[in-house]
Amino acid sequence: MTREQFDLLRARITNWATSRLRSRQDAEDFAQDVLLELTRKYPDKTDLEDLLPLAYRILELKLNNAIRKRIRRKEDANLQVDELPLGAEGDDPEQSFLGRERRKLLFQAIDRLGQQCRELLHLQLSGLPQKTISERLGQPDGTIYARSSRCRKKLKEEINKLSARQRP
Amino acid sequence: METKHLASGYATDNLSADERRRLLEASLTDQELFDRMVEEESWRGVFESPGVRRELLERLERPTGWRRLLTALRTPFANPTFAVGGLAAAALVVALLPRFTDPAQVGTDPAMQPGAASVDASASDLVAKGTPSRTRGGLGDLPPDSSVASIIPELEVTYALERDTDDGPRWVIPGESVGAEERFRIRLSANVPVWAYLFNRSGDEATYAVLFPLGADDPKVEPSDLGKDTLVPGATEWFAMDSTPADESLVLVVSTRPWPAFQPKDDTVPSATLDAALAEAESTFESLPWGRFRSEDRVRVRVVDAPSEAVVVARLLEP
Repeated sequence: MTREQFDLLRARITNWATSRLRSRQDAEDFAQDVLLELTRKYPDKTDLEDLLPLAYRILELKLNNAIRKRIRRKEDANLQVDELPLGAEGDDPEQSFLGRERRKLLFQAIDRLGQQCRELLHLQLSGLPQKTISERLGQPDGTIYARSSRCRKKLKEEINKLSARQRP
Repeated sequence: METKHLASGYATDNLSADERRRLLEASLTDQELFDRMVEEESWRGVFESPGVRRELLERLERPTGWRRLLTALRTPFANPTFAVGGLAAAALVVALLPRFTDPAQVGTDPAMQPGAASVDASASDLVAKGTPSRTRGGLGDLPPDSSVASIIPELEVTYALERDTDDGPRWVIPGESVGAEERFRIRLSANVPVWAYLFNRSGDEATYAVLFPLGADDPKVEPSDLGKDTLVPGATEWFAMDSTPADESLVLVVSTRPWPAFQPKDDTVPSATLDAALAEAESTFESLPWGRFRSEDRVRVRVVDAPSEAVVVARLLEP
C-alpha cells in the first residue's frame, strides 16, 4: 500500500466514523487507532488486497466497542450499537466470524426471505461470475447491486428479529 | 461494468482477481463505496465458511411455505405487477349451509343462546346481508345424496387466523390488519371429520387462488383430540403475504364432506363460480340453532342438531 493510499484510507475511515460517532475529533482518533493496529498487528501484510479487508473488519469491531463503552458510561444515550448479527464474538478480526448461535439465526432467517432475495443469494453463493448472475436474472448490474443491498438488509433485520425473540 | 456495482459480488466471492482489486482500490476514493464495503466485509466473513455456505445453499434450494404461497398466487396471473399481499382488515363472518334438512324441524338449544359464551355475532348478521331466500339443495354441482338424513347432534368447528410475530404466533382479531410480508396460518379443529379449503383473491380479480389444498395436501381434518389443532397449510409451514400492498380476501371453507364446488382441479377458481357458491351457502343459512362464539383466542361455531352435510364459511380477511 502506497503512502497516498494510506492517506486515502485514513480519510475514508475518518468520514465513516464521523457519521457514527458524531464527533470529528473522536473519529480522527478512531482512525488513528485503527491504522495503528493494522500496521502493528499485521506488519507482514503490505498489499492493498490484504490490508483493506482487514481494515474493514477492524474498524467495525472497534466502532462497536467504542459505542458500547460510551453507552456504559452513559455518555450518549442516543447511540446504538449495530447489533451485528454477523459480528465476531471477540475482538480479533481473524477469528471465526460467526458464532454457533448466530449461525442458527442466520439459517432461520434465510427461510424468511422473499423469493427474489432467495433467488439472488442462491446464484451468488453458487459462485457464478457477476456477469452471469446479471444475465440469468435479466437485470442490469446496477439493479443487482441495489437488490443485493436490500436483501442483505432484510436478512439482517430478520436475524435481529429472531435474536430479539430469543432474549429473555 | 461500473466498478462500484462489483460490490454485490464481493461477499459471495463472485469476482475475478482483477475485479476484486479494482473494487478495493475504488473504495479508497469513493466514500459511499467504502461504507458499503465495510458492510460487505462482514457478510464475507459469514459466507466464507464452507459449512455455512453449503447449509445456506441447501436451504435456498428447499421450497418453503413462503415460496409455496407465492407460487400459488402468481401462477394464474400473467401480469407481473399483480401480487398478493398488503393490508386487509380482518373481518369474521360465518355461515352455515344446512342442506336437506327442514329448518322448521330443528329445535333450539338454550345453551346456544347469547350468554352461554362471549357472543361475537349472531345469525342476524347473515340476514342483514340481504339474502333472505333459502335455497335447498345449494351448490348445484353436488349430486343429490339420499344418505344425508342423519343429524350431527352437535357440530363444533373452531378456527383462528394466526400470524407469526416476533413474540411467537398470535391470533388475529377483527379489525386488525395483516401486512405485507407477514406470515400467517390457520388453526382449525372440529369434532367430526371435516374438509378444509382456503381461497384468496386480491381486489376484484377474476379468479380466486386456491391456497389450500394444493398438490399432495390432504384437505381432510380429523376430529381433534382435546387441545390439539390442525395447522393449515401444515405443522411447519406458513402462508405469507408478499411485499405489494393490496386489498385481500381470504376465505376459509370447512365442510363436513368433500365438496366439489370448493375443490377445484386447478390452482384457481373463477371468482363468479366461487362467489356464487359462497353466497348460496351464506344465504341459505337462516334458522338453525347455531352460535358463533369468540374467546380470546379463536372463533368457535356450534350447531345443535346439524345436518350431516354442512358448510362453514369464514371470511377471514375482507377488503
